[in-house]
Amino acid sequence: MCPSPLALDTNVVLDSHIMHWLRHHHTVKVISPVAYAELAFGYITRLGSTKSLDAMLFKTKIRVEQFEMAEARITGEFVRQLMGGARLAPGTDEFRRAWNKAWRDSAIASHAAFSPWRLLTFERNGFPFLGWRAKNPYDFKSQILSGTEERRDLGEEDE
Amino acid sequence: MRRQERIANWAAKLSVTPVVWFETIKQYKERHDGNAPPTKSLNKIGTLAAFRIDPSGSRLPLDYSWYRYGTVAERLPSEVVRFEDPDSGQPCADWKGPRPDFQQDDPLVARVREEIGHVIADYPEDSDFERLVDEVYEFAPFPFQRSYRLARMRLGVTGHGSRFENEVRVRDFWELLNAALSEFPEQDFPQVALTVGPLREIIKLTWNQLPSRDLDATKAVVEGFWDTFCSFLRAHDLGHSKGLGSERIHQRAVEAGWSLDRLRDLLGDMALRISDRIPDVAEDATLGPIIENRRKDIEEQSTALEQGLAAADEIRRLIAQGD
Repeated sequence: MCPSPLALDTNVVLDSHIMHWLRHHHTVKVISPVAYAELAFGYITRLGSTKSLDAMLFKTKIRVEQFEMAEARITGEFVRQLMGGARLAPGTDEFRRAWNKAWRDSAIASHAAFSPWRLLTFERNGFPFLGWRAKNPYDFKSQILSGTEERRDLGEEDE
Repeated sequence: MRRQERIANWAAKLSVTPVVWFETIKQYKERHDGNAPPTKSLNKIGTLAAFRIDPSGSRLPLDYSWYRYGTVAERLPSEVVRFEDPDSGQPCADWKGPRPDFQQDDPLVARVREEIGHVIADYPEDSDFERLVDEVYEFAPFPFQRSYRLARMRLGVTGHGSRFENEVRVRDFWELLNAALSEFPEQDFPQVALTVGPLREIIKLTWNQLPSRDLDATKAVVEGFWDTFCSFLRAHDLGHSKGLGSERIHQRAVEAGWSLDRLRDLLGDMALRISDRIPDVAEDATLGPIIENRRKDIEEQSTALEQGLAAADEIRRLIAQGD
């Protein structure tokens, strides 16, 4: 069975240890255009361009995935689930902050919406809709190296 | 036949294709106490029924492609909704919405219903699934797909419950692999063919010549090669149904290129790992250049990572302001 394809949350791309390890973990690795936009904001603000970000993604074979209608639809559903559980009063600053974050997180997670995709993230609690498929990257690395990664979706390598 | 008539006939056939998916879900649920099918069952039951009715795909133009686990539906009606089964974690599919429109007296619709019933009766339990996959593979366009599946089965990575499982268990993996590779369709997949030699050399070492057999490395390489072959397969004319859009095929071809890149890295890493234990491998005519290229590539990656992450802490803080 082939290793699970991975969607990476924004901060995972900025983790040196994980990025060095991932180049020897040979599977599909993508980031959402929304994660790329967050990274681009940081790189342009700090360095004036995305040149070193782009070179890093290219050399480590992490591609920026397309965001199409299917991902947009899933994003809408994830936002609904997140905001439905938040119990915040609409119109308040708190609501707006949660809404803003929910959109970005949901768009990032939309690429890992279905098995056998995994989302590597340092904020597993932010992605309740992915359940066990949202993984801390360090835990994931340990599981891969020890051969204990959970494959409840065994046999679904065709999707 | 006049052009308009031909178009009308084609449109009528197209309208039958949603019935395949509707009936597969409906009849599967009837057989399984109302439980919706896993997507893998939906894919295989639907395409197998279509193959049995019309192997050429001219009467029943279902959109599918061949991939790592047999056939996959390429275009499902919007009424087919995917969800994850909370108990098994498997992706499943259900039909939400009105039943598809079709002429009640259409003989093709009746034939579709009947054949889906036959497929489900032939493989009634979930434990029969792999035998269903066996039959799907009888329709595979390249014999290599069947023979390589047997080699993978011998490694235990697929085929649990297949009718070939017992037969394969007593055979030698190395022989199965070589038998499969001797059938590799080089003319159809020239880029992938270039990796067959290194693949064979690496597995010869991981399976036969290291002081202790490296099963994990063997599996990783065998599966990496399968992934790349199947990525090219579904972009090949024989690897998908005739009506698939050119845009999608182009996208598949791009993905196949990425998969080949990953395979090259994987083979390079494996060859490097082996050369730590058997230094002579670095001088090998087949593996030596692969090791050299991978070393160079790792160096370039390290430089890109060093430069890309030089200001990572500050960038992380900047991004966090938006949370």
